Amino acid sequence: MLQERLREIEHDIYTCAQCAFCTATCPVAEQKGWETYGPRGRMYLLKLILEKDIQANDQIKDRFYACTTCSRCEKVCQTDLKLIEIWEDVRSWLVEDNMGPLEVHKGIAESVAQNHNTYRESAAKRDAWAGDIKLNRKGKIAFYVGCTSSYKMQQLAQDSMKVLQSLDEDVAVLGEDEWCCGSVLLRTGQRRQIKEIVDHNVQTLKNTGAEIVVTSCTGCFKTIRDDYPPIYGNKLPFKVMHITQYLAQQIESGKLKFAKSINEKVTYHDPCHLGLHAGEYEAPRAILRAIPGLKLIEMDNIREESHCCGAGGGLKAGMPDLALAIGQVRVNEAEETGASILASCCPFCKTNLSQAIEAGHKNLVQKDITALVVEAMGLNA
Amino acid sequence: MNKALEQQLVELLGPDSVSMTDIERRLYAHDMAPVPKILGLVWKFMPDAVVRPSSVKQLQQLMKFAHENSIPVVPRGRSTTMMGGAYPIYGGISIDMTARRGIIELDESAGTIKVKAGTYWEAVLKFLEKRGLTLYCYPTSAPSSTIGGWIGNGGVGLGKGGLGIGSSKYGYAADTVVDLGVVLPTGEYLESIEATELKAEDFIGSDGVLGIMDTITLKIHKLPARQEPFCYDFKDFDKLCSAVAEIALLKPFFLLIEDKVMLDFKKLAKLHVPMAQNLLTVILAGDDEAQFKLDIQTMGKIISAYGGQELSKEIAKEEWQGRYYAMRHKSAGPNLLGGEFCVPTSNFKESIRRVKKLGVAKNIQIAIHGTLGVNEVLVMPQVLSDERKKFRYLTMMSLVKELNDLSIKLGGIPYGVGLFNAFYAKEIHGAKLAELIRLKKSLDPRNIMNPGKATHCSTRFRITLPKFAYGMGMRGLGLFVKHGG
Ligand SMILES: Cc1cc2nc3c(=O)[nH]c(=O)nc-3n(C[C@H](O)[C@H](O)[C@H](O)COP(=O)(O)OP(=O)(O)OC[C@H]3O[C@@H](n4cnc5c(N)ncnc54)[C@H](O)[C@@H]3O)c2cc1C
Ligand code: SF4
Ligand code: SF4
Repeated sequence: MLQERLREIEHDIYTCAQCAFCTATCPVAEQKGWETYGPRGRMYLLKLILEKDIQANDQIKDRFYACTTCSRCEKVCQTDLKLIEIWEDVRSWLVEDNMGPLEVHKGIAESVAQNHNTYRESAAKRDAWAGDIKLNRKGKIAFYVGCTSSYKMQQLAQDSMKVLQSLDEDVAVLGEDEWCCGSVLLRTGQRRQIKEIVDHNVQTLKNTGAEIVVTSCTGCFKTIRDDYPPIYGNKLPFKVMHITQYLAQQIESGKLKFAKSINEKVTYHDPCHLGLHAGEYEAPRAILRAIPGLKLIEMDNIREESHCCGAGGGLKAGMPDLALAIGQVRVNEAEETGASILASCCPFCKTNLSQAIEAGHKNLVQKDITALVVEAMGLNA
Repeated sequence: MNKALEQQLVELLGPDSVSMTDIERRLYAHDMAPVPKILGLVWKFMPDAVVRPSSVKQLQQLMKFAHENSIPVVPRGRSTTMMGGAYPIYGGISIDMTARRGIIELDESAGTIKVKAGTYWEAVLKFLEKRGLTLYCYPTSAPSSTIGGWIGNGGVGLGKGGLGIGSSKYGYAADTVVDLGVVLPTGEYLESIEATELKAEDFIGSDGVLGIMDTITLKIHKLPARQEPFCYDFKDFDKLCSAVAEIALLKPFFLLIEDKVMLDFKKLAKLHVPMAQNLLTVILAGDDEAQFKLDIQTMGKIISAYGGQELSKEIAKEEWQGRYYAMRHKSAGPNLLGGEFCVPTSNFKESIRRVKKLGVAKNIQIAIHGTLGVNEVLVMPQVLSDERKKFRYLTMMSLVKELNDLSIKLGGIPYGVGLFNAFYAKEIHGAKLAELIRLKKSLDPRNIMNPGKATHCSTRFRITLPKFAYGMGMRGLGLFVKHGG
């Protein structure tokens, strides 16, 4: 029962000062306005449930799923509460009580169970993105492709692979053995399959012999790097890097060189799972600054104060209109910089920001940083 | 009744701006301070409806409707006060002002900025700082509190309002306000209060009992040429207090006092604290370089005369950066119970001596957090407590009253009015109380604007409670819980 489970976080519930620093910065609260949609309100709802003043119901479920898990709230919390853990725990307790998740999230979990991907695609076609690109199963580096790049954004998978192979021939991919990392399941409180997924992925990644696992999705990156170790029960037998971190290192060491200029103004959106969650703000910027011709113009809210794109935490699937509205706020900010390119480095941000650009008829193109690197290296010829 | 009310409100404001759900209404029935449930017997905290008007026209229609039907309305910013001003005590309509946000006009030549009342202080600060400008003063809750909320907050009384960052140099909240746009309880809209017979200061610190501030024009100035934080350690807290009285004459931009017990609370909450006994943080700001240097020298002399030790610039910067986080140590409680009062700067030392004596008598550790105001120090003595231990929590609440009374004896006042300090309306508003009551009667003949606040304290049955009953109530409540629940 949720009410009983809440005892595990009782001290946090009473510690919350109700100062609303979190709500004032929350992208969902900004859109919805009402207290119940903000993190402070949710902390108070938990207190009311704990004290048996109210019981969990569909409205409460709705409020707890109206969250991108962007972590802005946690960054500004007056009393240093680990709010993301709280949001994900509560979602998992709603799932235990058969109250959560949202219908669409259940479908995703079923798909992961059956096909090892979130899109009901065939597991056997996990490598189909590669086309003519030659793939290895062993290597010094393993490229963890992710569900979205494997099936829906195959250009990103190809671009990532092209760059990685141009730097190091020994790049492994897992093919059919690459299971969905489980990010969506963890974010939406569906923890049942997760142990099996983690053990499988860690083992198969280990089998490639790779010392470094590179991801082009920030969701996969955060999940494998931060969520896997406690579930796996040990330190991971490899290092996990987001592709921008890896590429920034290669630029720094002089190994990655650019052949072409891109004479455009670019602004950069920090994906929450790379920035706010993992504290990596510099690597993507270092790449953009290194590309000849590109001029980086920053938005008002960046790095630790960055605003979410709206897609995370299962919100894009669960409440697409809300996700899009949040994306539009970010796109407006990008437009104000006068840049022609809105760069980022996460397939979820890409989807939502591109849709927000389209919906707002903006004079902007969304590009992944890896695509810009491919272009400037002259690899897309 | 509620279905009909919902229908009427939806007709006025549209479905997206009205909520009647149980969970929403519960969230508009409190502020930052946990209120013992038992007080629900005396007051009706839950609004019947919550609305989020987004235009002045909607606000007017809403007030007209409430006036015609004699429905109580409570303006609410972010409800980050602790005195019960921002939630109802007779039910009615809670007006969430945060949909009225944004900057209307920056007029650099006039040195003003006009904003909507529901805008966050920090948003205005950031907007200005990007343009090399800033505000004169703002509350330390700037990230989440609204312009209207702080200007409405009772603070040190009608016509003055709150104390915040910058107050020790530039004055009270009222000293920073140029004009207001106000929707009166009848629905009439005064776009510029200064163009009428009323004055902006009539509304500042009035806890929303006279009308709804819709726009606020604030004074602005250029970012100071120099601003620098300093931090000092004092072995002897008495001497720190003496130093504060002298440093106050330099008109620092901000001055923060934290005693040893406060640092202990922070350690209990596993926070990193500087190696120090009692901390004094001072921010100096100014445009005149020669004067700035002179002030630093003078301050240095005061500090050494009272045995203070300067700490590193890193520590000073951290203290300044943490200025919005006065409750970071709350997990040590998990509740912080205490008072908030002002005493004349000259009596600050004596007030602390008495607070500490009270702590000894009650065998509790009272921590001191203080900030310098205009002619006063705003003191927040606090104890660690736990609202789940109901009996002890309720009895500890009597401490609040004792602290308030202590401040009055020393020529000070409890800080903020709202509901719970309305017992001290005479002391806090002073001579202005009569004016507030007169205005209330003439502007709000049906007594629908935040009724029961700011001028007197009454129960849900509209029986006015005298102050002694409050004191007794605080103790009596403890007994009630002990025997009753
Ligand atoms: C971390 C922290 C630091 C704080 N620091 C300070 C400080 O430095 N100084 C200080 O004075 N307080 C401080 N406070 C208390 C409080 O945050 C401030 O007074 C704040 O400005 C209140 O703003 P709000 O929007 O939350 O107002 P609310 O609490 O919502 O409202 C306050 C009062 O104003 C009325 N009101 C609100 N909006 C309007 C309106 N548009 N028209 C008419 N009446 C209105 C309400 O009815 C209520 O009576 C602090 C609180 C916290 C949590
Ligand atoms: S994680 Fe983001 S969306 Fe969720 S409550 Fe916190 S700030 Fe809001
Ligand atoms: S910022 Fe932290 S302490 Fe403040 S209301 Fe939000 S969760 Fe509570």
